[in-house]
Amino acid sequence: MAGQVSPSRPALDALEALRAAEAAGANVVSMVSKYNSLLQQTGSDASFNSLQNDALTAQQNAVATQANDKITTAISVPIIALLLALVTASFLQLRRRLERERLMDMEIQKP
Amino acid sequence: MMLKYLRSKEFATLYLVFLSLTTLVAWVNANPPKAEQFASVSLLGPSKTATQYFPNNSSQIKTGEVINWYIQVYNHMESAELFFLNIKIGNQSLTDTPNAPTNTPSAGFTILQSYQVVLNNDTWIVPLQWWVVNNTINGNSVVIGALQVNTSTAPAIGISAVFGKNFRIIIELWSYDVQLHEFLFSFRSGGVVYSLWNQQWFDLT
Repeated sequence: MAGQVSPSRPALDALEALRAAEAAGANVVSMVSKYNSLLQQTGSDASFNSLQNDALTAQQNAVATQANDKITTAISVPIIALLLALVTASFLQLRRRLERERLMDMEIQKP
Repeated sequence: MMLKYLRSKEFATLYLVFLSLTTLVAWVNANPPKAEQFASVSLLGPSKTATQYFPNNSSQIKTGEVINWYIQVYNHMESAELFFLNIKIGNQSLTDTPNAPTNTPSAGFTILQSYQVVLNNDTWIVPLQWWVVNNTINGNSVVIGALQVNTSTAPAIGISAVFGKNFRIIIELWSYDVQLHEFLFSFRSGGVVYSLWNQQWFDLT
């Protein structure tokens, strides 16, 4: 039979870590490229263990970034709503004032 | 005057309306709709199209005649996948036909195995150059002795066909399931295992 041998247990563990990092929102493009190179070269268990550690670090960073993003969203949602309400309210008040002034002008111009 | 307006019912209503809208936008942004999960495997000819699989466009080949194919795997599983291409040679025996409803792989003889992690929405192309190295005749059967597959020689033990007709190359797509910790033929989507395979028939004359 030609081709590659079945991936070792450390290789599969590294893959699972990669998938977990990806699910957490990490960018895994470079790690996948490295993983495929190791697969082609039948890389050592130590290389896959090192990649697994990189994936775990990437996962932790992604989880922290996601938590920050959630806090930022939770804070910005009511602030954006307040700003939009203020702008709309100002616009409505301006329109009412202009309407009032127009009516007063019409009253003054009446003979 | 402004403070009085900010306490008015009108401003409260405006704020509630915008708060609902921004919350909705944030929720949709955080929970994008799930796309359908699938993968595909295709066999392509030397020009990377689904044509001209054999020299002279004839599936009747001779020993030593070089065949150039490409196998294309596409990943739309919404995550990076470790795919495993299991390429086999078989004859027209029913057991050599993979059974997709029961997820049973072909009983054919494996001639090439290849593994690769493919990113979501990415394609993996595997070149497959092969030829029959030698064969023997046993009564009215042609028995393949060995195949050259890319850079290695693969024995094809016991693969025979009457008058050399209806041999086939079978391509199975497998993937590693991180929840089950094993390779599946071919992948799991929505709790259901789907089996993908492809094949090309040829006669050895």
